[in-house]
Amino acid sequence: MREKTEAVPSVSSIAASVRSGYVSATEPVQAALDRIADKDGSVNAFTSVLSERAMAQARAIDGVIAAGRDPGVLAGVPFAVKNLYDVAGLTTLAGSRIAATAPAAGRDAMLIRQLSAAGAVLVGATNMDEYAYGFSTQNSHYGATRNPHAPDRVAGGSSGGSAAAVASGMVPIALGSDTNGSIRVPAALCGVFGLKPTYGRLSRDGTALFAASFDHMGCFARSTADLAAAYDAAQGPDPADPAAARREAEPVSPALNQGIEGLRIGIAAGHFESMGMPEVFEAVQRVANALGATRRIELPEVDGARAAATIMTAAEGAELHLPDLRTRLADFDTNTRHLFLAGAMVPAAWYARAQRFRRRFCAEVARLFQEVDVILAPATPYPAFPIGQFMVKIGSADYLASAHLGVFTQPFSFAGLPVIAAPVTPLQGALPLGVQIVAAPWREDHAFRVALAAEQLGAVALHPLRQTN
Amino acid sequence: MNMADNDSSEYLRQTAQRLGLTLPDAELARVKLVFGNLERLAAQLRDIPLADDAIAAAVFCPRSGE
Repeated sequence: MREKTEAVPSVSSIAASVRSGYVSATEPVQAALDRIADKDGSVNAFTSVLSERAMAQARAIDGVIAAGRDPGVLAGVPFAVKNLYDVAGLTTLAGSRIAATAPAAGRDAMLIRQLSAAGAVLVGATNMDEYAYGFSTQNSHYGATRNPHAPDRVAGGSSGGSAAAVASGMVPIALGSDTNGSIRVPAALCGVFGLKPTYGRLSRDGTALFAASFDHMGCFARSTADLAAAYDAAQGPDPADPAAARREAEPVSPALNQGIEGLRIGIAAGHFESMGMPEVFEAVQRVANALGATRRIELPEVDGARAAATIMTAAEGAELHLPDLRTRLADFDTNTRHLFLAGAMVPAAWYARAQRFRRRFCAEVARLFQEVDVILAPATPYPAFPIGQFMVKIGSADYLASAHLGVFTQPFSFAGLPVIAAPVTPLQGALPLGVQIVAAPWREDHAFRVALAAEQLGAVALHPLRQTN
Repeated sequence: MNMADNDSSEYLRQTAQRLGLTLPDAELARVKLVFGNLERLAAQLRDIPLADDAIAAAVFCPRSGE
């Protein structure tokens, strides 16, 4: 077998072709629908495909162009969303059987409206761990999403469907969510770029929340430039979301090519150099070497951050689902039911203390970012494991295979920091691995500049799919 | 709060009852396992000295962080 990158047009090339009238908007949209029809049977990324809606929207874009009006910077670009985003006329599943009986959403989530206003075309909704409480997208109701690079292995989660849809070339961009790692983990395991922005940057209006203190919306793409294009289109203040920051959009695309001169780049040490397989640390070092980063950075009290994040996630997630835990316990995924029940039992004093610790941790992290602009860290402790595998052995220690995937992502989302998970250019035959490029709050531009520089240096790149000759 | 095994089961049953939850025996063992892990994590936080004026605040929430 040889490794070859799927010939999927970039976001900019699709938009340019459509905006110029060179091709009808229906062409890239139909091509995406054809790829979904061809590939999704073996990947199981999608839970809904919206062919009629997508083609109608594509025709509408053609009408806008014919009328001489601007169709938007993402004109004709097909995209998918994790099925916790409201889609008008579709029931918002959030990976659950329980939600499947709810009425259809009355309107699109805010981020779908943002991307659609920019001319992008929604083609479907993607699979996820039930209620986002997982890192592997092994869903007992809708099946496991398979890793496009190794179909017997997990895609990561909880936004596994979106990551797999992008990795397999079905769509060039997709939206997901990240609470403790649910964009960064599947991005890494599927070998694509993923962005979890600063907490409060992107609107959560019209999405099914999991743990409101940590839920971030974000996106996946096949390159830094495509990721930036999707992120820029998604930005903007939203009074309807009480957690959204009252900040105007701060596009990153214009500054992408500024390079990394003047940026202080460190490598996360201590916690981020243990509890993982050697290849994940070697991957981070390769990226650091390419960027010329040598300074090692110790995040303070990482164990406390993980403890507090876990307690808060458990308690908030459980409270949200308490009515259904009372009346429909048997309808929960067997992988999440006991997690929610345990979370419901958390004493208030534990939760309150975790919140107080969070305040302290964020202050310490803020001091850290006075000394450094970007921190590199592994995204996951190992590459994708086989579907159904319960434990992973690292050295002489055993870990829960799925839960342990968040060991390196959780501390950064606990502090609400913006992070790009970028696919590290693989060694021959290796499974995908990712590096986290972490910036200070509201400095997504720094993360993007480093990601693009690493990409231009060849240190990170979309993980090629193996093609049979 | 560190609970002996029997106390843990009793705590979970009583708390479930107060919350209107039914905790099947088949589920209890798995819930105890997860709850035990949460308890260990809570113990870690308990040992970290925090200033009395350390306030709880959502991170970067515009009302508190801006």
